[in-house]
Amino acid sequence: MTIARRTLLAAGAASLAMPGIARAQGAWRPERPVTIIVPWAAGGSTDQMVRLVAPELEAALGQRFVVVNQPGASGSIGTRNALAAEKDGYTWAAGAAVDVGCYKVLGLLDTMLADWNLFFAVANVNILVANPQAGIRDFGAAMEAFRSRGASLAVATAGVSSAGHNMMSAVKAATNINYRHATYDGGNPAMIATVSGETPMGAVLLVEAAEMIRARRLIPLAVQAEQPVTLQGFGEIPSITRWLPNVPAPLNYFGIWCPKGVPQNVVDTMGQVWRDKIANSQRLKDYAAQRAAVFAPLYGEEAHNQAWKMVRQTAWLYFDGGTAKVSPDTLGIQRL
Amino acid sequence: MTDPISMLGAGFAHVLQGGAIFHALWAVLIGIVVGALPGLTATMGVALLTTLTFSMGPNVAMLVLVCVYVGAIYGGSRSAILLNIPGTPASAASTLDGYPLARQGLAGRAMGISTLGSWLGTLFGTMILALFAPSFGEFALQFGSYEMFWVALFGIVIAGSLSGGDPLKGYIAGFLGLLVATVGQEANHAYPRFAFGNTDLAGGLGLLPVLVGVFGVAEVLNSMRGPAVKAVSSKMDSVIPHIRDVTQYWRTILRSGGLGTFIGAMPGLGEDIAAWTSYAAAKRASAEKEKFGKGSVEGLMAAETGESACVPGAIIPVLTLAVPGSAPAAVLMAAMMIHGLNPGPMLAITAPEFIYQIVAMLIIADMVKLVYGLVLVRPLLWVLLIPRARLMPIVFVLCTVGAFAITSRLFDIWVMLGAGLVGFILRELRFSMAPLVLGIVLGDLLDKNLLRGLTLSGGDLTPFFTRPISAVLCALTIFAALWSVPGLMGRLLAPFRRRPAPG
Amino acid sequence: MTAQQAPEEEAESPFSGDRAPLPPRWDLVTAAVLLAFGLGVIALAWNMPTFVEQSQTGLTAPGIVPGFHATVISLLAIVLGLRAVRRGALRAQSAPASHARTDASRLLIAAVLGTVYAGVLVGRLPFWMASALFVFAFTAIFEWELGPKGRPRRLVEAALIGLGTGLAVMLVFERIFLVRLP
Repeated sequence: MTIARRTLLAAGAASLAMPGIARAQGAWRPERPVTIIVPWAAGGSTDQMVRLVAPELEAALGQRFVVVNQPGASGSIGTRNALAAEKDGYTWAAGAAVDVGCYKVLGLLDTMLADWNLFFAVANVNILVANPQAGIRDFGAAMEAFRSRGASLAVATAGVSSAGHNMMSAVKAATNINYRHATYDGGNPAMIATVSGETPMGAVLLVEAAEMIRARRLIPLAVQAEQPVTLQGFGEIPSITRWLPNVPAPLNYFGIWCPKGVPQNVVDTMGQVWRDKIANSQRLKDYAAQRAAVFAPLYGEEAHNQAWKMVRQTAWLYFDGGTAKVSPDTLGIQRL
Repeated sequence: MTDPISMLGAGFAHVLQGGAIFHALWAVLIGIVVGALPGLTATMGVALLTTLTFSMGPNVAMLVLVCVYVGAIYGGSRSAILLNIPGTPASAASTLDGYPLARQGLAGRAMGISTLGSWLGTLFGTMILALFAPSFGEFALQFGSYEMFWVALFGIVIAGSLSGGDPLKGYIAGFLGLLVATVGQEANHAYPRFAFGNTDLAGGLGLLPVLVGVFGVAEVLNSMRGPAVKAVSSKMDSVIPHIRDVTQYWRTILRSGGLGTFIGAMPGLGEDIAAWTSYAAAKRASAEKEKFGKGSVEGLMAAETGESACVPGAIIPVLTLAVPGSAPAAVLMAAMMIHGLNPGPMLAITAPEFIYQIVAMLIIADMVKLVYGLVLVRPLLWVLLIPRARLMPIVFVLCTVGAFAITSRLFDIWVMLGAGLVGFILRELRFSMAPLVLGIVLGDLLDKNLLRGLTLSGGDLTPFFTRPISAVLCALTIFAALWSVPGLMGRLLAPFRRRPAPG
Repeated sequence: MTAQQAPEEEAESPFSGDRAPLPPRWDLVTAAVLLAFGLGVIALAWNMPTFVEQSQTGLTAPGIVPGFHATVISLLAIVLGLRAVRRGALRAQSAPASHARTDASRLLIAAVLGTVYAGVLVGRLPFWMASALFVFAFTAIFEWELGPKGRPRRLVEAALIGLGTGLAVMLVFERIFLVRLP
């Protein structure tokens, strides 16, 4: 091989490599399928959200987004795997932002909300529902029942540290009422237990109870939101602040995220996709409207600030309830 | 209002437009392949296709998903019969009699039985779905924590009867299985049992890795015994089903179909429990009990009919209550919601035609499954002729992939390996695997419902006995326990009554 | 009491517990191991927190259910042990059949190969390479005993089967079913 030819080859290689470098600094074009880890079982509310988001991302980035379900240990196993994966933008995690923010408080996983690049799609609200035969017509009557019957009145939730359980903890912290906590395998089974009358009340996500409320088989007592929520095909559901003005009602954001440390162009490109595509996705909008969720295409700093409210509230609920392993104070999480 | 027949006709007309048969053909085939590969479950297949069919219309997407579901539950029995490895947890019960039949050179006949049983099962369940969906769904609501506890306990009592020769070892295996199911975070306080600070263990041992281990790995080891390099079977027989198998066992088919559909409609139970229950019930009622576990046509038929009848059964509560009856049905329901079809109690009012469209989809899927069962199975039989020194390592590789596939964790591979080695030793010590697996399947159910029942009643045991359905289930369980005791007692007391003859 | 293995039947199912019964002494050892296991689990369950404060009743203590299972296992293990003793576990045993020994070595080889593959190689090597190596080694070792005639050919075939398996698995699972491989 002559020297001239070798130089030529080197020059050719350099010129071939140039656009590659330019691409690395510019938009992110994934070269192989991207994985989104759903740390909950297939079919749940996180899973549904991700399976709506994934095709939008596929269309925008021209690469497959594969959804992998890794349930277990309150979602911490799947989230840990996403954290441990190579920081190249090819592994994402999904779920409720508040869980990621509280894993460290619960001693489940050494991570904080600020360690992640957050991209939210929808926000869910918690709701307290009652069985129509339980004789509880509104939230005021429920509080009355809690005060008189207290520890013998069961409330169904999706388990410890589920959204519904957090709502009940907030109510308990604000009023000092007592209740019997019945845990089920998920929001749907908890909702069904209330429909069948096994428990007089249930605290779940509005998404999960929407159909049964429309069918008049559950009475919606109050949503944990600053404002009343309108459910298509039913009407307005009052806000918990009507009875308990001091119960904080931050929104529960659901979305996908990747750990900080991934290349900047991944974050930038995703932000752009979020602004241009996700924020205008008709299917996500329809889904949110039907399931009574709030369409919330937030990302970056704004997403973090919004979700941080709920983290602050929930972390302290865990601490006051005795389930926290470390004080939120030591992690820089102030009381809301 | 319109009558059911014309609604069903309209349902077919709606589903069958625009290349539906083509979609059904490829979807059932994918389902069968997914089911037959150990580790790729029906749940995973439906979830995968949910994403892939996102851009299709809701009508086609639902047809594809129903076809994959039906195909995968059927496909799981291929590997159960040929290799003694259940392709999905649902077909674990099919190994009990399917594999012995294959060893006897009757693999083709076994697949024929499986095809017929599965076909009739889905057909039966679909009929129930079409006729009684609303009332079945409401009845399922009656089963609360107390009732589910009895259902689980009943299953465990049955476990002893699945143990072949030695009920004592059957019960020990059953309780070992129950113990395995308690590993990991429990529901009430999220306390990680037996985790020893390990976060993977805190998540519990997955049913699938354990199953692939005790069946797959243990079978690979077991088959390497004996000096000659031989194949599983040297004979190949016809795969055309015998009509006599149906006429002879019509009672078993009806019973298994009913049981399977019913169990499918119960939230929290699934195809695996449907198959086990149908199998155990068939064994109890059979005139040829002694053949069970050694290649009983009736046993295989019962397991297959039960698991396949469970599919439409599991869709019943999805449509009427928006509660899935099984894990794959949960994904199917999520897909319905993603496509803007809101299943649940309002469906009968807002879109009653959708129920009949689902019925039409199930029937189409079932027919396509039958066609594949008659055409496609024969090439599979060649697997039996491969020398085991070449087949078994490949099977082992597939088991490893299967254990890993569901959650992509190396931990699951180690669980599979550990379960395989322990399972093999237990098998050598004459512990039957059937009660062990049943214990693992039911352990979670028993644990959660007992503790939840106690929480709800404030520690009072009476609701477990006084609620009407609870009382019936309790009586059934005690009856089943007493039924099995004379055999157990006879064996227990025998050594005390007479000394064994010397030497 | 005889302790001989029954000759393996064509139709034998690995699930039927009714192969030839094991020597009672094996049952006795099994019972002892199970009893120790059961008691150990009881101890672990006993030491679990009870969460009386959170639940007010203590009925939801995580240790109750596993403790119960372990108790039953311990009791059944005692029954198994007693039965074994009654059946003559403490008397002299006949020597194990000789063909059992070759069986044991084959089983050991298969178990070791499987453990090395799934426990060590997978996750360190690329999956197709680990699988190809495993399939080749397994096939080669178990076909070695067929004798030197045709051995080179068999080895080449084994290597081809190994490579084929590795690549086919990668293709089918990663490309078609979009499953991640270790």
